[in-house]
Amino acid sequence: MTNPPDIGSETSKERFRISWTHPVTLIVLTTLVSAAGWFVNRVVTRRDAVRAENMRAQKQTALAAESRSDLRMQVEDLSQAIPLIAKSPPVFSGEPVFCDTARMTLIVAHNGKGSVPVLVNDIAVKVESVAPSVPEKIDCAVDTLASKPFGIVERDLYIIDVAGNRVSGQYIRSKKPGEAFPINPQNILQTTRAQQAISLKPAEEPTGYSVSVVAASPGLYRVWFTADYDTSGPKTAKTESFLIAK
Amino acid sequence: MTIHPWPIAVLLSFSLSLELPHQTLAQSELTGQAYINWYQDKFLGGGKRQSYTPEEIVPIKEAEARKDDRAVVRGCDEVLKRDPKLFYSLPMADWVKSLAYIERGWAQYRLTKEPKYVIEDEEKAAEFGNLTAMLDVIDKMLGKYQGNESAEFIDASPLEHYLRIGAELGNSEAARMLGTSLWPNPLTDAEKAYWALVAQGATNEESGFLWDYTIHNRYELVNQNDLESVISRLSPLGGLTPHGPHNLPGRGIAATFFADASLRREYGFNFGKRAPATRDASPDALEIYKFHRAVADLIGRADAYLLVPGSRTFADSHMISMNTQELSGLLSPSDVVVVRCGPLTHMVMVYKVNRKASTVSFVDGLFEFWQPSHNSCITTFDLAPFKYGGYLATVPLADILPMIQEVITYRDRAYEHPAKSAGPNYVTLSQFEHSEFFDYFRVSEVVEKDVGPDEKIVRYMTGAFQNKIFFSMKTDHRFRIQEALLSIDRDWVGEESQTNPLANDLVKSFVVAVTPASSADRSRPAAQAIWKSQAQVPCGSDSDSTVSEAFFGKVDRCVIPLASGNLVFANLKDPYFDRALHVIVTTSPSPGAFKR
Repeated sequence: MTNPPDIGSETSKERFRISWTHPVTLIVLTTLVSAAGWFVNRVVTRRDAVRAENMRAQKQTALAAESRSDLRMQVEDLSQAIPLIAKSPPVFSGEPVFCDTARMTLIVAHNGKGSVPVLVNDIAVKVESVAPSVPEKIDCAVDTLASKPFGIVERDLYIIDVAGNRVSGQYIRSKKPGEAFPINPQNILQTTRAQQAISLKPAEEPTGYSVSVVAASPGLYRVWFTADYDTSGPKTAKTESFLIAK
Repeated sequence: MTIHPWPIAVLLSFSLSLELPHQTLAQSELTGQAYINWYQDKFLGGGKRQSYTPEEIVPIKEAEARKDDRAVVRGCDEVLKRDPKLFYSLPMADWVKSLAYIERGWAQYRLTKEPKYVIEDEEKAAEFGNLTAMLDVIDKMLGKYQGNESAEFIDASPLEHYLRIGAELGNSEAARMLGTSLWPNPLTDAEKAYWALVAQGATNEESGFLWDYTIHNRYELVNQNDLESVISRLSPLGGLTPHGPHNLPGRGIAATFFADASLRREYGFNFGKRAPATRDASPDALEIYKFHRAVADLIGRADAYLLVPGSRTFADSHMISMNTQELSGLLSPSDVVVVRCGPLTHMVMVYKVNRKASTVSFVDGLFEFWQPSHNSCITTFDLAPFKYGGYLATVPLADILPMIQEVITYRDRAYEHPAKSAGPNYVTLSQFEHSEFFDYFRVSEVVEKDVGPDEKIVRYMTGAFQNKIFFSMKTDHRFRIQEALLSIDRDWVGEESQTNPLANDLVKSFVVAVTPASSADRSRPAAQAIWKSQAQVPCGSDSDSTVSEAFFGKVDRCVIPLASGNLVFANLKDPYFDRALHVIVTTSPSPGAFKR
């Protein structure tokens, strides 16, 4: 085995000592600093871009959700049609009870969001018997002397009769002979003469149906409306319910 | 609003002030005339009937405005030929055609100057129940009988027919003419009496004099039985009405004629009737009742009662609750019924109740309410022609009963006068109505009218010689007689040489019955003098005349001072007789101060 030549260690160290002032060293150093800056800058920029992209995506998702076309259906102006003798309106389990006849406007409208029309296929009257007779604490006596005889004045009036399990109704277009038709309570848009789905467009005024619900036989009933409709797929909506008694 | 206080409003409008003297009061506090004024102002456009031109007549009117009478005739011909089914309804077809006849007649007259065209077409319009045409036809036919030259071409023989149309449709002038002999009237006395009383039945007059005068004279011509018989035959009410349950009074002669006349007027009023396009201010059922009651009170022939299904209690004895079965049994022509099916409420007058067929027929220009297609409470409905272009809406009684909210029915006035004594200075109405005089002469009350805030006139009728004897009481609000007036046909009283014992008895008994106890010692000698035809009782301390001289018409006036007031005998002309004997007992210092 042969030993390497001894060229002296002190001399070699000196030979490889970096000269910080050497032009090459300066060039390398500035290059390295520039590269690091570029890298950091790139990382930060990419991170911000991803963030912005994510935010944009989130925003778009939210916007898409907000602008989805849908049906707005609700009962408005619900009121006791015939005045009662009792001074305070009857209540059942904290909920107001209408007696004999309740008058209301059923609002059916596009929710005004999105551009897709809403096609309402049917509007059904749903009735559930709460009690077969009016609980004693409910005083439903109507004040017959307060009724106002108008005859038939209104047009486009829906009258729904609830008698036990039987629900029936008619649509009065006007008082003229031949201008009133029985309706199907499962779909009040369907009369004996025609069935019509209604298409609701975003900018259209809401459609208001004048509806009177009549408790035609004794009992306490819960009544609400449902609608089957299409807007990018079939859906069902329902109104809040109310109680009516006779 | 649907019915129909219009006929009453129209009837009243000629005589009622439309001012509201008590506008500061709430309506619930108003009564009588003030309530009527309030109601008319709020719900009936101030008592003025609104008119409209049917769509079919509009182009005819436009042609008339252009003075294009040929176009008017063409337009009318087209309307008259048109199939009735092409109109809004069959009743409306009749009504529009009646208007077309009138327009055509006048247009042809303007084109030809031939007046026959007018009467020919107006006669056709009258057949369709057009009262305007009917009145013109009657006027022309009566003109013929009166020798009017312009009516010479007219055949007046059908006058009775057209008077009947008018009377059937509630025109009081036509009914009055049917009751007179001012034309060759072929009707029997009983029929004349019937129509004369229908004419007066629901008219308003301040003091009730005309009604009193008419009923006295007609009762004298035909007896009560004949009158009741002719009511059964001619009146849509079919006769008098017995009293009902719960102290509901019946309907005697006066209330029957009031109800009869009201029903006829309602029938006539419904021709061409059209509902308002919108819900205007409308009275509620109670307000409607109060209006009918105020009108009945004002006219004074009947009283309005309110029948309500159920068991609700009312403080007012005129408002009666009863079960549906009782209501069903009482329902009768001229009743006003408020009915409801769910949210639909309607008011209508009953024309006919057919208990055998279990149906009710209504006078109803707004018949649409009864269509089973519109009204789920109605199973069957018939709109059938009735008289002179009018229609009745008929539905099953069983359908109606559950719908009834209230029934307003005209019944006898309960002339309830408190039985309290008012002391020695007054005779009360109750005391008079329980007197021997009242009983012996079979006296009945005819009419009672408020003529001032504290003044009331009550008129009576004896059971016989009704057209010879008229008497009335003027009272204050406590029913204390202030002035009693007896007016007798002077010729019926007789002369001293030939006395009428019944007249003597009547006058003597009357004086005794109406003189207050405090004055009895002063009036009794006069009464005895008349009874015994003695002449020695002087008329006051400074008079040379005697009571008998006045009684037999030898002196015009005899005044006997009483404790407060006077006993007066007077011979004069009055609204009843050219020569009348007045016997007046006053309890105030100014005899004869009260207007009758």
